[in-house]
This record gives sequence, structure tokens and C-alpha cells, in this order.
Amino acid sequence: MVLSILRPFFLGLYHVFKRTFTVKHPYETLKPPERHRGRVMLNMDRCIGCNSCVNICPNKALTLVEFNGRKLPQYNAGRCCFCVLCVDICPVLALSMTHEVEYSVYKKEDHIYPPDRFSQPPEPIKGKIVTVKTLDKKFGVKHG
Amino acid sequence: MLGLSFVELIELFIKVLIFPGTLFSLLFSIIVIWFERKFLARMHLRIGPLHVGPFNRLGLFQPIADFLKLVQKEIITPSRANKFLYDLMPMLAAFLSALSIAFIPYALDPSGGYWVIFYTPLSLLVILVILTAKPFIMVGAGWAANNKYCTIGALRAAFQLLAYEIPIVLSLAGIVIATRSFDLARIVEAQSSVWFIILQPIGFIVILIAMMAELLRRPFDIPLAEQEVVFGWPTEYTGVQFALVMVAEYFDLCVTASLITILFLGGWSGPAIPLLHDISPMLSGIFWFLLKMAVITVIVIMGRGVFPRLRIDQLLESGWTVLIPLAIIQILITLATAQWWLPLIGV
Repeated sequence: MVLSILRPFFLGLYHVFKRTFTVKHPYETLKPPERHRGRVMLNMDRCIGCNSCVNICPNKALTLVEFNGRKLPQYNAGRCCFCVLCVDICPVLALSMTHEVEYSVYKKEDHIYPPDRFSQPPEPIKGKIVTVKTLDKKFGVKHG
Repeated sequence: MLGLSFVELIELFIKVLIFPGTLFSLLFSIIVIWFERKFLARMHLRIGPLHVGPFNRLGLFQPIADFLKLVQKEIITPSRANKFLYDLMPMLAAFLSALSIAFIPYALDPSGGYWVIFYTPLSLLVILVILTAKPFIMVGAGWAANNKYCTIGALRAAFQLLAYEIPIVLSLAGIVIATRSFDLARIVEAQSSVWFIILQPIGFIVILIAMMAELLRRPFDIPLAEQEVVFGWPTEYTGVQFALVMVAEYFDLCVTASLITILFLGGWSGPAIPLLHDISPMLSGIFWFLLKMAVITVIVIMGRGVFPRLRIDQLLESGWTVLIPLAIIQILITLATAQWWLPLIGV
């Protein structure tokens, strides 16, 4: 019984000197995997305004709006569930997923992407981009 | 003024404002809060506080930033609360916790006395009396908030503190019997050749566990269990009142660590540190005292990282049927073997 009380103490102390699983996020960011689903991006030249994406979206994150005399989708990142149905349904491949990782905004209006902003690629990741270099049982994960 | 000379008055001011008074206890709480967050994070293989403060992303100023945030917040009083008691209790909690520090001697004074704010030969007894007042604050605050979670948390705290105060007092009895004194400074002097942790190991284990329960730390944080009663008796407190409750908790940790250091780890006694000892022998003593305090604090904090919470029946059972008999056994052993080791402690 005494051993069962003391063992966690040693295990805890041992963990203190292991490397951490998490990274120092704003300064270091884990590289998103190849098939990572970030926010959706629009290719304005290809879009024909067919309304398919708006119809299939389960969360009503996409709405069709008037833009420069054309009908183009507007995107609400706060409602999006990243199901990729809109990307799959698009007949002209105008929609694609990006590798955006930072979504936090101060106002909920900032989550709404009108067609011009919707067609911009996301800002590049600030800070160092790191990947998992080694998985060591003794010392933990090494990022680099 | 107060019948003190000018030098004595300055000394009293230093004691009250710097060490071991306001500045030291506040710094202790700030450092311990930061250390606790960082240390627990490392145990969980996380990073912990990161942004605030200097020294390459250590998050050193995180507790200060948290405190400033809490001070700016609105104080919300529940409409059906007993307003007088509700507002009084956090202040009383912080005051009572800080009060104990006044009776703890931290080092030998260069002029011959002890480095303590208020010297009394009954200091151990006074601290025990202050400790006994804690359930009153918790039950008072929990009742005054008029909230189910607060009331349940307060009643759980009352159960727990009642069950664990008795082992504390009983394990202290062994030391008081051996040294024939309630004076903390006298108890430290008795340990100049051998510490009480060697003479009374069972008492040390009992008081360490019971003090962790008294502080409502992790394996014994049933009154504060988030999954069951939100945050127990301080659930309704916001802003600066919550800050006071937190400060009181860490003052208690400071008092507890000091008390265990004095009673079982020989207080300020230790070999002289060359550089510090040349400036003043007192600094060397303070260094040893703080080092021993830090060890106790780390052990108490580690409990939060490695143990799951007990059930209330397990807690009460271990309090009444394990710790109290162990403490009594310690007293019996002390009485039976005292004749052999009493010369060692110079009684």
C-alpha cells in the first residue's frame, strides 16, 4: 500500500523532466497535416453561382450574396463544421480547404467572410513551424 | 510609542512589512502559484504559463496578471445572500490566515532573541486556536451565499476539518510532551542535534497528510470538487473577494509549511552557508528555513498532480480509523522511549 502511494510521486517527478507534448503555440506551431481541414477558400474566377454549396451546407455557413453584379457565396467561419460537403459538391472545383490554424477573433462579425475576403488565402503561420522529430519513450516527444 | 526604542520600532516595521510579514507572505503566494501551475503542467507534459513576464517565455508574472484582472472585476453579491456575512468572510479568511504568520519564529535574531513578529511562549497553542477558526469561516461563507453548492461545500469542509484537526493536535502532543513547551522557538532549539522527523516519523507522516486535508489540497479536495459542487464554499465569490480567498489559501500553505519545518525539520538549524554566514548568521538560518519550507511545499503541491480525489466516506474513514490511532500510537511510543532520547534534545 505504501508503494502504491509512493510510486505516483516518483512517476510525477520523472514526468517533470520529460519533454512536453505541447508546443509554445504562438511562437511555435505544429505543421498541419497534408489533409488538414482548415477554413474553406473560394476561387472567384471559377465560381458560377450555382447555389449547390449553399443548399448542401448543414449549418447554413454559406449564403449567396450579390457581389460586383455576380452571385457569390459568403462564408461564416463561426458556423462552419468543416464537413467538406461544399468542396465535394462544387461542380467547377471553385471551393477548396486551406491550412488555416488560427480562428480566434475579438468580434463575431469578424468570422464572416464576404466573397472578396473569402477568396483570399489565409495569412501564413506566424512563428516557427515545427514537426514531431522523434518519439522517445524515455525522454518524450522531440519537436523541431 | 508602545514603550519601544527607535531601533526596536524600525525592527518591528521590517518584521511586519518585509520578513516574515506582508511582503514575504505575498511573494511566497505569488511564487507558489506560479510554481504550482508550471510544475503541474510539466507533470502533465504540458508547458504551462508562457507569455507574461521576462526570462524567455517562463510566464513568471502570470499570477500578478491574474490578480490585476481579479481586482478590476465587478463584485457580484447574490440577491438572497446575507450581505454582511458574505462580504465579511473573505476578509476574515485572509486576515486569520495571515495572523498565524505573526507567531512563527523564522530565525535567530543577531541580538539574541528570535526573528518573530510577536513572541509568546504559547505560540503553538495560538496557531492551533487560529486553525480551529477556519471551519467557522467556511460554514459562515457557505451559508451566507445562500446557494446549494456553497452550502454543500461548506458542510463537507466542516466534516473534513473536524475529522482532520484531531490527528493534527494529537501528533503535536508527542512533540509537546517531549519538549515540555508550547514555544515554537524552544521546539526548534530542542532539535539542534537531532530532528523530530527521526525521533517521531509516524507523527510527521500523520501531520503531513492531515495538513494536506486541512488545506483542502488535491487528494482531499472534496469540499471544492469541481465535478460535484462547482467550487464549494467560495463558488459565488467574484473579483477581489475571490482573490482574497485564494490569498488566504496560499497564506495557509505558507503557515503549514513553516509549522512542519519548525516542528519536524529543525527550523533554521543547519550548517552555516559560507557567504551568507559572513554577512549575518541570521541569513544562513533563513536560507535553511526557506529550503525546508520549499521541500514541504513541493510535496504538498505534488499531491495535486499525482493523486485522484478520495470519496467522502474514504476520507472520513481514513481520518477517524487510521490517522487518529496512528497519532495515539506515536504518543505511546514517545512516552515509552522518551527516557533514551530525551538527553539528545536537552530537556
